Amino acid sequence: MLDTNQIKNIIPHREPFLFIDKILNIDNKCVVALKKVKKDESYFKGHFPDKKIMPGVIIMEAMAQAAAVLILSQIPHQERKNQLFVFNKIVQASFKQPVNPGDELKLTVELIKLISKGAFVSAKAEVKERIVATAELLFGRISR
Amino acid sequence: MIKDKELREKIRQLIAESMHIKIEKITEGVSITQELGVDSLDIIQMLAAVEKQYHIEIPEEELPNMENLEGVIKVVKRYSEKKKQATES
Repeated sequence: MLDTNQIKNIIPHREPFLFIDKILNIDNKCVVALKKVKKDESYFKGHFPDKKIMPGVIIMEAMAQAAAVLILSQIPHQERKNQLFVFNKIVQASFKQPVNPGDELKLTVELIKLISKGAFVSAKAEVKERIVATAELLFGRISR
Repeated sequence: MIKDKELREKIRQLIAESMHIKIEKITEGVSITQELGVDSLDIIQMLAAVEKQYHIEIPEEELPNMENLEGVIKVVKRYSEKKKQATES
């Protein structure tokens, strides 16, 4: 298991744009990450003032960050600093159920293919074992 | 033993579906990357689709050999044969 500090050793994302808290499991092909959705997340102020719903794009960003942990953890530490993985394509995404304050989001990301130019992953997000979102994402690797 | 005609049609279908291209456009000689609007990263989706269909793993070094239909067919045949030989030995 990896905590927030260990995650920060692998990926460059920082507050207020870090959307995963812990890594439960990780191997070469798959990562499982957790995010506790707090009542005072900054985006809830505007989304929406009278009904707090976690934006779908932030769920997708959390999936992307879990994917980044999966991919970057396979690259030697000294080389990690030289590259970034950025969104290249949202191949598909669906948002099935709203995610609310207090929910614990479980993100499972599988690496379909990794090449020097980028990576293709499939991801799902669950709350209490119910799928709330799925996506297939393509990332491009860029040099810093 | 994969029949050539079936293989060709299946691969055309996989390319069409994974790259969202009309299947009629995928013919001999047409360059997937130059003429059909597929960039060098998008093509990873096509690679993943054929790997999944034929239960093979294709190294990225083969990507330059997979820029048209004939190329994809040749690479799929080669890696399917390698896999068959590996499991038989």
